[in-house]
Amino acid sequence: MNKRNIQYIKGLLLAVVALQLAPFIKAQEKSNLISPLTIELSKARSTWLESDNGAGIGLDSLGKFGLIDLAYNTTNGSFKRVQQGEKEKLLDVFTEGGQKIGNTYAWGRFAYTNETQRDTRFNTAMLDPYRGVPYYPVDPNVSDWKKQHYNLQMKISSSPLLGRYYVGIQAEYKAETGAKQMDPRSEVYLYAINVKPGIAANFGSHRVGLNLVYENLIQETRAHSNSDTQVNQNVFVMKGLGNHYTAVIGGLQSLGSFVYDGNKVGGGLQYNWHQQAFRVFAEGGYSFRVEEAVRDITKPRKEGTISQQEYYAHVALLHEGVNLNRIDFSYSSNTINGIEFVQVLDNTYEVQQWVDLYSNIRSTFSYDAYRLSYDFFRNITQEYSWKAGLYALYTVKDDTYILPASHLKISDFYLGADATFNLPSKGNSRWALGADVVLKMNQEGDYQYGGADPTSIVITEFMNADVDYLTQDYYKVGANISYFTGLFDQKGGGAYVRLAADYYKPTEGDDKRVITRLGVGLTF
Amino acid sequence: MKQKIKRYSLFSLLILLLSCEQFQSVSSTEEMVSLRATIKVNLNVGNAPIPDQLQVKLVNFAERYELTTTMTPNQPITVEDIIPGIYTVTVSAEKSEDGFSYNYNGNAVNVGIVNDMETITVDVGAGKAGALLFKEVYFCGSRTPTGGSYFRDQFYEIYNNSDLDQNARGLAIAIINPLTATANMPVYDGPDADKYVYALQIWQVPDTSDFILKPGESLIIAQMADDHRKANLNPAAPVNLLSAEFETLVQTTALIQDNPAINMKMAFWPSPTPQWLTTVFGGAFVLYVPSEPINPNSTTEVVSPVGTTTKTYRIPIESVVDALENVGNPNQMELKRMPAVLDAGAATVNGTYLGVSVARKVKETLPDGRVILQDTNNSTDDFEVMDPPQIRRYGAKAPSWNTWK
Repeated sequence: MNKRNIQYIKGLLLAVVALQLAPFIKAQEKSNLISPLTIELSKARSTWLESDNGAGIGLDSLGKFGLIDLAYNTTNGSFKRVQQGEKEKLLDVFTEGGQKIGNTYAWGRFAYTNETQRDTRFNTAMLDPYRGVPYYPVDPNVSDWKKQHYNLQMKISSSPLLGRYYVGIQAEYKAETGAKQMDPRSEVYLYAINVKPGIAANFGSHRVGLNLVYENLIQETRAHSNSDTQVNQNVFVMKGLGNHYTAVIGGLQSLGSFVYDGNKVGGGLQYNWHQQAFRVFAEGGYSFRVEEAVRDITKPRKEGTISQQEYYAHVALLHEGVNLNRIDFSYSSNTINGIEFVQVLDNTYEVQQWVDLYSNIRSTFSYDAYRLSYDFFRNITQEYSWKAGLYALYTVKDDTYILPASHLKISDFYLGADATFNLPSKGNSRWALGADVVLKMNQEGDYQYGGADPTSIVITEFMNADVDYLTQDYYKVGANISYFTGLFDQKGGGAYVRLAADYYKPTEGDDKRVITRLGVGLTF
Repeated sequence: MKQKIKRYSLFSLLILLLSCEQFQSVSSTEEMVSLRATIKVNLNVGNAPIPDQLQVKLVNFAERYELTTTMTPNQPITVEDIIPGIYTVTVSAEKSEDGFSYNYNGNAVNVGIVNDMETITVDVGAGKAGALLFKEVYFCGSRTPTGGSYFRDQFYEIYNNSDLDQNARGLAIAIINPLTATANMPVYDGPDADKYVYALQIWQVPDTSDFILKPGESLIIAQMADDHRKANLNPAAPVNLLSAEFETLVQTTALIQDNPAINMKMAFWPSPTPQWLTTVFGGAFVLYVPSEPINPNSTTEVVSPVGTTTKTYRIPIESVVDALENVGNPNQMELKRMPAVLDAGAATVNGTYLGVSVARKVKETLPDGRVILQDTNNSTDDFEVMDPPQIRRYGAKAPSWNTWK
């Protein structure tokens, strides 16, 4: 066990001891309680919080809360996608809070994650190979990745203007960096900013909202390299559904680094009706995103461009009395067109640049998801005495490479259930015990590759293996236990420690994957 | 404050404008459909007979996509199922008449086919099958037992593919500019610039005596005609080149000795290094017989590309006997630097220090065991990768004047 792990364990043990002693040191008034369950219930009662309209957050009754959470996650097991690590370790810190400042409500969140992935394959230069861009290099070497993610979010809603209108904005800033640890190596940086200005209006029991969306993203690889400069490394540049070309990293002919530049615009509409104990919330939205992938920024050559359209709709029905009942239905549709270019090199001495001759949509990727869920919270006050939830999710992935024709279609049905029990202990302390189970049933799974070199390692060890994983049925069993105790008399906050574990097992085969999370936190 | 607001507004406007441009660029893009193209040929075969049938090949190297068909010389043909892209269109045929073999070749290189029913015209010429050819070239080097790089074992094998004796006296081998396949192509001035290829280095068989190659014989030009498996060189090297006819000796060193092979004449090399190491990524080579003595100080023949001081020696395309272009990997086919008239394609070993070579394919084996090698002026088709490299493959014989073989 390395020194760092010993330090983590020491810290967590000290935290647990402190939490056990705390009830005897301080007494606390129940009415001011802010615990993780309080925050969870506040969010379950909210409808605008999860929408894209920051102005609407003033219409939720979130109140004042704050949370700092520090957690250590481990993931182990071979039941995984090819590009994921066989083992992953993740240290994350996040803080979240909301409060009224005058008549304005503000909410913010900051998260930092330090991630180590061990034994990944087929990912040479992407921080997240699943974010929807099919143009990136891969290599078959087993490698670790080290990544760091910073995420800053805020929502702010004004006081009512003219007694009716709320204007607001929500924004998110992401900065991520990562480095591949084995040849061929890469150092990757990603920045993204997402801004959503919005307005909401209150007409008695009816509320409506409108928001716009703008996002800019840049990901750049700062020069590929090899530690062993004597050995060049073969790589494959992916174009979607296994189609690829070969290249090499190292030497004079080395593959240039990739730069991605994306922009997104969109908008959303919200409607909310409330009458005594009943509330209805409906929202829908659309966004359009374009992202270009360019190789060799000093003599740019287009690898491809995606144009992405996303639609979503969401309806929530809430009934709040002694208990809280909540039904949610959501639908999302994500369609990506992969555009490829025919370029020629203009060799004129003064010019020497790649010129577009032709472009067309070469591949299409679509993903639809339908989700229905029901959540029940028993005896709601500031917390709940127990909760139970059920959900059903149906997803369809349908991807096509037009010529030479390749096709991938996967549809899955998920059923999930969860429950949490709140068990008061001494003073203002409580245990929360939770469990959840998910069953994934694959409905359809078919992958046909019609491109060049079907015996390439890219097809046999990357694409086929990934499709095998995606088309497997599995079950997941999860459990968590947390202990909370109040610490701050007047403000009502406290401290908690939480342990959670998830176990994934396909219905066939011996693979498995276990994810554990041990965290401590403060609420205030 | 007002200034700040103005600045932020301008910045936001700039970002929006940039994104608008991005959105506009994809707004009218349509789904791909396959295209058709009409291939026509212009036959310019001189006294050679008209071929009965021509093979037509369209290769899109970037897509690794190939279409083949046949046509008659006077009837254009429509090719279907074309993926829009950059193609090399090759038209070839062979015919034997009056005891001679004729090759018919024509190429259109880097043709963008992006519209339906485009017409591509290919000029097809004819010639008697080439006499002296590159038979096998080993350029990529090998690994030492400890994983190091070894590049002294490069060789070039020249073969007499004809039915007549050939004299290699004064035969020159040159590597042309640029050394490696690159998007940064040199540009040469002058109205007849495209009538030449431009050599960075030229070595010449001594023109002081005859070096006859009988049909089926080959000569080996070694960078260093030694047994490369010696302990002080590379025990893991794939070749022993002691029997090579020629070597390109620059100077002797602790490792380089003057071997039995005849020393070639360094005809042009403005900045020589201790050994003639050609790029392990794959150079583009020509064999030619100079009509005039090579003068490295010539003010007319030594030229530089526009904007550089690199000295190159111009070689008339018409004097080239054979050409072979090599590139680092298949994806660099479109970065060809050899004129298509000399080599419509390119060979590759797809890596460096692999200990493999490119060797010309066998077209036919005669009853006496002599092989006739394939020569369609398209190295993509004519050459294949060989592991390990081997001198005098397919029973090629050493010339009788090689007494140290």
